[in-house]
Amino acid sequence: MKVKWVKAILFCVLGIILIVWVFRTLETEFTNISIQRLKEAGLLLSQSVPSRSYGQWISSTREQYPDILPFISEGNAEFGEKVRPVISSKEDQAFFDWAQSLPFYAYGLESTYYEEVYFYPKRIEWKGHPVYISFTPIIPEEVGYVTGTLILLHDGSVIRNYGNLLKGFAITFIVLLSCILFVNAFSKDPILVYTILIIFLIVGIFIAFPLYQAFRLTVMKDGVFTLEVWRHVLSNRNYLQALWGSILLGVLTATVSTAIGFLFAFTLTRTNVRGKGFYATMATLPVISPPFSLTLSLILLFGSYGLITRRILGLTNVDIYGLDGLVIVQTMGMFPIAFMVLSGVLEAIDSTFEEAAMNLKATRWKVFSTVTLPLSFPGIASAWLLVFTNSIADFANPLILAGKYKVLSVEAYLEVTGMNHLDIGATLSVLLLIPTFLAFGLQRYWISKKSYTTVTGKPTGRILEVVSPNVKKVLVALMVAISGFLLSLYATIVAGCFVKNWGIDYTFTFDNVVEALQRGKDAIGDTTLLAAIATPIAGLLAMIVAMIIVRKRFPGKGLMQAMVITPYAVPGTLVGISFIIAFNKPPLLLVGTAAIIIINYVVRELPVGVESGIASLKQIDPSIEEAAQSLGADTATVFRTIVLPLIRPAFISSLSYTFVRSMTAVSAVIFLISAKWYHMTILIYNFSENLRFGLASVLATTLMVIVLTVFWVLRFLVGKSSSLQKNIIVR
Amino acid sequence: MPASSVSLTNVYKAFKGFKGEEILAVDDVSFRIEPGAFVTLLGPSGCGKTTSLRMIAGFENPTKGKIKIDEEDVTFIPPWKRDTAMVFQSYGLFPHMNVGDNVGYGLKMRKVTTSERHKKVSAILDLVGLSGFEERPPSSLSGGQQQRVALARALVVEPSVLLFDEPLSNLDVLLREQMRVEIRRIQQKTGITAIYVTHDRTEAMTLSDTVIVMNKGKIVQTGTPFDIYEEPNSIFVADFMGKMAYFPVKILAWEGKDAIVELYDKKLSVRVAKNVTPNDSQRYILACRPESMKMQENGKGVVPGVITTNVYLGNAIESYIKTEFGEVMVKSELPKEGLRPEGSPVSLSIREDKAVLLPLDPGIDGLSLNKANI
Ligand SMILES: Nc1ncnc2c1ncn2[C@@H]1O[C@H](COP(=O)(O)OP(=O)(O)OP(=O)(O)O)[C@@H](O)[C@H]1O
Ligand SMILES: [Mg+2]
Repeated sequence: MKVKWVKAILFCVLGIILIVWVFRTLETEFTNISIQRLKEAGLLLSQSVPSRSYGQWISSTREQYPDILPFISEGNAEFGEKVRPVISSKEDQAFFDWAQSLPFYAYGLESTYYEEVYFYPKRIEWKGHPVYISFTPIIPEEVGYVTGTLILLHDGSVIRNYGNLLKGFAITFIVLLSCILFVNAFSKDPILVYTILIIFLIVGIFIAFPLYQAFRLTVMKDGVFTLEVWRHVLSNRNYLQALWGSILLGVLTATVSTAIGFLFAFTLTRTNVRGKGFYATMATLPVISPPFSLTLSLILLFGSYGLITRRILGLTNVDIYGLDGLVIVQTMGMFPIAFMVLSGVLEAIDSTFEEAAMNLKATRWKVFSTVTLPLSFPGIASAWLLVFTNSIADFANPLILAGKYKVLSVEAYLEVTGMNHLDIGATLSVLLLIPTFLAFGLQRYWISKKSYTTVTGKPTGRILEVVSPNVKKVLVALMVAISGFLLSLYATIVAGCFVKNWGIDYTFTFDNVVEALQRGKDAIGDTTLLAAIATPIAGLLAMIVAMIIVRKRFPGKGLMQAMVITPYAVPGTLVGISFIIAFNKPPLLLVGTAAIIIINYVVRELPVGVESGIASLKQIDPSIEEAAQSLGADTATVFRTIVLPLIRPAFISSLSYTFVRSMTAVSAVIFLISAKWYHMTILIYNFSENLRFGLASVLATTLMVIVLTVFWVLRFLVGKSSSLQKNIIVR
Repeated sequence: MPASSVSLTNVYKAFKGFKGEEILAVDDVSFRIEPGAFVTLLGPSGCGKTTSLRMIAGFENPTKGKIKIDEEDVTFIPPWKRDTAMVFQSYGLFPHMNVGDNVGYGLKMRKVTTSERHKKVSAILDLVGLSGFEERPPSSLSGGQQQRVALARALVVEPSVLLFDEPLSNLDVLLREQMRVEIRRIQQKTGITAIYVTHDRTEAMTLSDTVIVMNKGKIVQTGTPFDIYEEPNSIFVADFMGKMAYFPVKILAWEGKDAIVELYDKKLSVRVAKNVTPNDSQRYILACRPESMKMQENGKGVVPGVITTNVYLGNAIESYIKTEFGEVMVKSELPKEGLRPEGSPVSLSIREDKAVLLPLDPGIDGLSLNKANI
C-alpha cells in the first residue's frame, strides 16, 4: 500500500515537472518570437517618423495600427540635447507621467542614444491593458544620427491569451495525469471510476452549470448581488398577470383533465362497456401527438375562419385565441396523463371493498361517494398535480393560441428573443419553477401520506357493476363525445394538408404538400439528423447511469441521481434559457452549433431513460452480473453482454422516447436553433404565425406519421407497449 | 485442475447501515485453507458468512485486513482478475443465453476458441449429468438442473478456488441431498479448493473437510466435522451443531485435559472443551449429546427423571425426560424389552468419554439452557 502511494506520487511529480517544463518552454518560445516581431515592427515604424510635426504622424499611426500606441521623446542626451516628451494630447500627458516613473525608463531612453532598441521583456499594465513597452531610436535618413526616441506600447493581449491557453492546457493535463495515476493505483475498477467521473463532468457542465448560471443571472448584475430584476418582475403588472394566467390555466386544465381522466378510468375499470381497447387508445394517444397539432386543428375548426364557426354556424366574431381555447387543447392533450394515473389507482382498489359496501345495502351512489371516491382520492390529487405542472410548463400551445392572454412561459420567451432581456427571461422561467416545486412537495409530503394501502395484489378479475344502466349510458355517451372530438381534431389536421385555403377556398390540392416539403426539407433533415444523433447517446448514457446508480456504491451517488433527474422537473423554457446563458462564451461557445441542440436533447430526455433503466434493473437479480464478473468479465463487458441485453426493453423504449421527444421538442429548442440548424416544430410555428395553416398542417402530419412509425417499430421490437406507455408522460 | 490455498488475515468488514450506523459484518477473521480442501463457513443468519465469501470473490473490499490466494495478495484485485468462480444461491444464470452459452461465457472471457469451447462445455455438462442440454434456455430447466448448470459454468473455467453461497437452499429436501453428494463427488474428482457457505449443519458436516463456525462476525471454532460436533468449545457451537443436554456440576479437580466433576454425588471424569484452559474463577457446565446418554433402571444411572414423551423415528427413538435441570432428550435404539412407557421413572447414565465440560458465560443460567433447547 505504502509503495503504491510513493510510486503514484513520484510519477505524478515527475509528470507535473515534465508538463510544466514543456509548457514553459512553449510559452517562452512563443513570447520570444512575438517580441522579436514586435521589435522589428517598431524599427520599421521608426523609419517613418518625420523630423517635425510629430503630432499628426502620431494620430495617423494610432489610427492605422490599433495594436500599437506610439509616443515620442525628442532630443538626444548623449549630444547634450534637452530631452523633451512630445505631448500633443491628454493621453500623451498621462502616458509620460506614468512612463517616467518606470524604473527602466531612463535606461530605455539611454539605450536608444547608442542606436539600440530596448525592449522591456516583461508584460506590464497600461490602463488595465496588458502591454509591452519598447524604446526605438529615431534616426532620420537625412540626418543620420539619433534625434529622439520612439516609445511604443504593443498590445500584449494576444501573448497573454496564448499564455493563458497554455496554462489551461497544462492544468488540464496535470489534472488528467494525476487522475489517471491515482485511479489506476488505487481503484479496483478504473473503468468504473472514469465512467463516474465523466458522468459527473457531463452532468455538472450541462445540467448544474447552466441552471446555476441562470439563477445567478437573476440575482447578479455586473458582479454584485442584487434583487433588482426580481423587484422589477414582481412589481410589473404584465408579469404578474402572466404568472396569474399560468396558474389559472393550470387550475382549469388540471380540473377538467382530471375529471375526463377519471371518467375514462372509472368506466373502463368499473363497468363492462364494450370497446374498452378503443377507449383506452383514445385516452392515451394524445400523449404522443406532436406539438401544435391539436392547436392547429382547433384553429381550423373554431377559429375566426373555422370550418365550424364560420362555415357551418356562420359566426363572424368568435375568438378561439385565449384562455378558453387553451383549456380545450391542453385538456385534450393532457387528460391522458390523468387517465394513466387514475386507471392504475382504480385497478389497484380491490372491488371487494365496494362489494362489502353493497352487501351492507348501500345504494350505488352511496358506494361510489363513500368508498370508491375516497379510496381513489390520493390518485385524483396526484393526477391533478401532474396535469397542473404540465400545463404550467407548456409552451407550444400558448405560443400559438394564447392571443392576448398572458402566460409565463411565452412571456419568458418573448423577453429573451424579442427584447434580448436574458435576465428577465431567466427570472420569469425560474418563477415558473415555483408552482412545480410546490406541487411536487405537496405530492411528496401530503398525498403520499394520505394514500391508503389499497393494493391487495390480487386482482379479482370480477367487475362489480357499481353503476346503474342509465348512469352507464351517460358515461359512455360522454366518452364517445370526447373520443369523437379528438378524432375530428386529428382528421382536421390531415384534411388541412389538402385544402387550398382553409376558411375561404376548400378545393382539394396537393400544393400545400409540395410547398411545405420543399420549404421544410432542410428543417426535416436537420431535425431528424439531430434527433438521430442524440438518440443513441441519450439511450446508452441513461442505461449506464442507471446501472451505476443501482449497482455501484460511490460517494456522491445521491447527488448524481438528483442532478440527472433535475431536467425532468425543470420546464423546457428554463432549460433553453439557461443553455443560451451558459454556453455563449468561450471555452464553451456552443450557441448556434448543432452540439448545443443535441446536448439539450440528451440532457432533457435522460431522466426518463434513467428511471426506466433503474426500474428494470431493480427487477434483475444482482448475482447474474456478479456471476459474470466472477467468470472474468470486467464492468464494461458486464454492461455490454449482460446488463444491456437484460434491460433491452427499457433501452429500446428510452431510445424511441428520446427520438420522439427530440423530434417534437419545442420549448427549449426554440432558444437554441440557428439559421444553420433549424427545427421542424419551429417551422410549423412560423407557418402558423403567418397564417399558412395548410403548410403547418402538412408538417404536423409528417411529424405525426414519424412518431406513429417509431412507436409501431418499437412495439414490434419490444413486443409489448405497456411498459412504454407508462414512460411517456409529457411535460 | 489447479488448486490454491486461500488465507484471510485479520479481515474486517464494516457496512453503513440505513441510519448511518456501522454494522461490523466481519470482525477480525483469520483463517487459512489448504489447496484442495473443502471448507464450510457455518453459522446463523447474519453472522457474516456471505460477506466473507464475497470478499474472497472480490465483490466486497475488506475494511481492514489482507486476503491472499496462492500466497498472492488479492485484497484489491477486482473479481474478474481473480481465479475464483462463484456458485450463487439464486444460480445467477444469464436468462438471455442458452445453457451452452451460459457455461461457455467464462471461456469466452478467457478467449478460448469456439471449437475448444464447445468441447469443454459438453465435457463439463457431461460431468454434471446434463449432456445434450446446450440449446435449452435456463428457464426451461428444473431448480436442480439450473444449479447444475451454475456449477458447470463455474467449473468449466477451471478456477483455482470454487466458492458456494448456500447453493442448495432453493432446492427441496430430496434434491438437496442428491446435489450434496454430487458436489462432494465433483470436488473430489477435480481436487479443487472449495469454500462453501451454509447455515445448514448437516450440509456442513457431510460436505467438508473443515468446518469454520462463525457467530456475530467472528470465528468461534474451526475443526473437522467430528471435532465440531463432538468437542464444541462453547455452548453456542454445541447448540448450533445439534441437541445437547446440560447438567450443572461441581468441579472437584483438574487432571490435565480432563476434569473430575460431581453430579448427584457421583464422580465423573470428563473432557474439558478444546482451547479452554482450566480456570477456577470460571463457571462450567457439563454437556452431553442425546446419543451419549443412556436410560437405566431407576437408581442405576446418575440423573433421575421421568419420561414425558417418546418420539419414534424408525431407526431410533427420542425420549424426552423431565429432570431437575429441565427437560433433556435422549436418543437410543429401541431396547429389546420394548419401549419404556411415558411416565416411567428412569435414571440417566452419561458416557464420560463423550461428555464435555463447557465454559458458562457469566449471567447465563445453566438451567435455562435445557428449556431453551426444547
Ligand atoms: N451491503 C450491505 N449493506 C449493509 N449491511 C450489510 C450488507 N451486506 C451485509 N450486511 C450486513 O452484514 C451482516 C452479515 O451479512 P451476511 O450476508 O454476511 O450474513 P450471512 O451470514 O451470509 O447470513 P445469511 O445466512 O442470512 O445469508 C448482516 O447483519 C447484514 O445485515
Ligand atoms: Mg448469506
